[in-house]
Amino acid sequence: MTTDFSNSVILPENLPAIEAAEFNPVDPKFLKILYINYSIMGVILGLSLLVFFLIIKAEVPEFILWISFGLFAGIMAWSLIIIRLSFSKRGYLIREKDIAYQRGLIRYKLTSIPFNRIQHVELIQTFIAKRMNLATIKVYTAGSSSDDLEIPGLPLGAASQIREFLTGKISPDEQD
Amino acid sequence: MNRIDFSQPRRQSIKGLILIFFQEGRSAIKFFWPILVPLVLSKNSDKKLFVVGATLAVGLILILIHTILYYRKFLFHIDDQNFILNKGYLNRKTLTIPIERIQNVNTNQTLLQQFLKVMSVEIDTAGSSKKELKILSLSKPAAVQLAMQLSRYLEAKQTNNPEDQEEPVQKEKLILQLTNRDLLRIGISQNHFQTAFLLFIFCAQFYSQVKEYFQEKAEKYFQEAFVFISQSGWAIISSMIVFFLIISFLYSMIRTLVLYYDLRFNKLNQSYRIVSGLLTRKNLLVPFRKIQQLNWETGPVKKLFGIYKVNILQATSGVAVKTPLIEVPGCLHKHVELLKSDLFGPDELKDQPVIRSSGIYFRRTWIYKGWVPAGLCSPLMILDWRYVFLLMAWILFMLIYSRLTLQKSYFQINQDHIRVSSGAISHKFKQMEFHKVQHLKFSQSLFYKKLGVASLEVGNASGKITIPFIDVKIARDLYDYLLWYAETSSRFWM
Repeated sequence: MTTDFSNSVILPENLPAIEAAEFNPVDPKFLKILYINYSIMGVILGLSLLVFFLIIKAEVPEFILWISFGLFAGIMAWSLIIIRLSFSKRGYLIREKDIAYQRGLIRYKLTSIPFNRIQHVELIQTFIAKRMNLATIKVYTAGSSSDDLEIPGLPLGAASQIREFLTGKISPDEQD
Repeated sequence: MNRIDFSQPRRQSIKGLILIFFQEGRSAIKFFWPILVPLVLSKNSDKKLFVVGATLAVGLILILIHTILYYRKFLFHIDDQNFILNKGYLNRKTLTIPIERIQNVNTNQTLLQQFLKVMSVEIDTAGSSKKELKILSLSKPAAVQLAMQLSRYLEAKQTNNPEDQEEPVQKEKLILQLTNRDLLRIGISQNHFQTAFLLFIFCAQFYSQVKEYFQEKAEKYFQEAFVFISQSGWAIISSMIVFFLIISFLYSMIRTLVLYYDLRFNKLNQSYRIVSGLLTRKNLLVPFRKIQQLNWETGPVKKLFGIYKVNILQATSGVAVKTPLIEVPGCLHKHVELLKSDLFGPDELKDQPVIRSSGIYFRRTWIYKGWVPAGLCSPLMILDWRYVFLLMAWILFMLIYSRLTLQKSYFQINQDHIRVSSGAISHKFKQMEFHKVQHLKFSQSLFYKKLGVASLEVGNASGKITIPFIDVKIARDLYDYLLWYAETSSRFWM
């Protein structure tokens, strides 16, 4: 069924393939932030589950509670492993004309934005990230959804450099 | 018509007081109704009348004062380069909009405004994230002149041709006008199941909101209803479905009438103008260059009538703000062809090979939309074993649905255009030009890596087009190609 792609489009010779490029890893300290965020969420979820169990305890057989709790613990442990394993997949790439970010082991995602489409660039530091001297770069395009391109876990120095660089790339016509 | 001078700060029409009063009053009621309802519903006593009356009086006076202050401090004018709007009495706010940044100027007239013989003017910019730039009430000549003065810069910018600036008013050509018979057809061909579902959700939400105030009564009724439903079972469920469908059919009819009454679709030199609506006459001007994407859709009933629903997607301003979706239902095939040739030139995609989604897309759709919901609902079988048939029927239906989804999931491209087909029961098409690409997203799940399929998302300034489950090689090549195209194209995306 599938028609050969190169028949329908005349591709320019030696089109740069993003797949072949070497991505820069994010700061290893960012893994700590991921763990902290994850634990906060885990504790909140665990506590609410506990409260919920205490309420319905009388009406549900005990083994069901144990199974559910085991399931919860299993899922949490599994996600922890996934966070660790997928961490090395995270990376960003700044080429001559565009910026890209990739992430995800189970569900791999790669996003690119050409410089000439950037509307503005934001540098964000969450409370925890501030302590670790890390920052997030957010790149907006026209009509962008919030998940357009976000690079978390950058050392603050590198993040400001990237922001300066990208802001310089925005064509004067586009600047506010 | 005398030329109105907008260079001095001016207020809106004095009749605006009435409109502001209603607008602010309505938002006050919206905000305070959870407090007002229990007050009105509380036990009758001598004091009650006084308390309710006093509250209303104080509220009315406050809104009145607010209205007058708001009106007095709401000033706008045009200087050489900018449209300037001053507003607010506690917090003064000055909005300065460079005229070259203005994307659209829309005038609008609600029923009340028609009665008062005034119009509202809305100024749309790229970049501003709030819809603050609205002047509620201007006399018709003032509104038209303001819109014209602002759009003159707009058209001049578009053409960049000094001769065109001299051209006083553009000729408008009527492309399509909907008659009442067209409206009837459009109403019939709406998706009634979707409306019924939304209606059901709405009722459920309304019920849960009201419940708090009528707790005791509600519980009693609810219990009675529950007993009634569980006793009569299947009959009541099917009659409820029929009931919701009839209601939603009526609702679709009314909605179609209100939204699209006497819709006129006009073509200017470089833009479209769409005027429609029964109670509120909407008047939208859409410059071609602002259009990012064209969608058109047909379905089983629509096919019968030979009509298409067309959506024209414009660049959105800022995050989280939706520019009005421009919908033209009841287009004939020739109208769709006309729009396509206006926006994209001669149709070269027609003869391009069709690239289809992988068969895996069928499997995944069937599992996610058929087996998973059926599995989640399987405990129902404990209540009544006959649910087995319902669940089986659902899975079978989704089998056909998923087959149709796969059949319609394909795309065609040439050097600078893409057209993506999707849908199951209905058939949707989306088309865009490559120089309007804003971002690209490639995604691949671990499970599909071995099978060599991936999905691609092509973003433009109005949203995104997803191409699901295509060959990974094609996805990667297309990714690199589109990125290269957006980076090297000399054409501006807007």
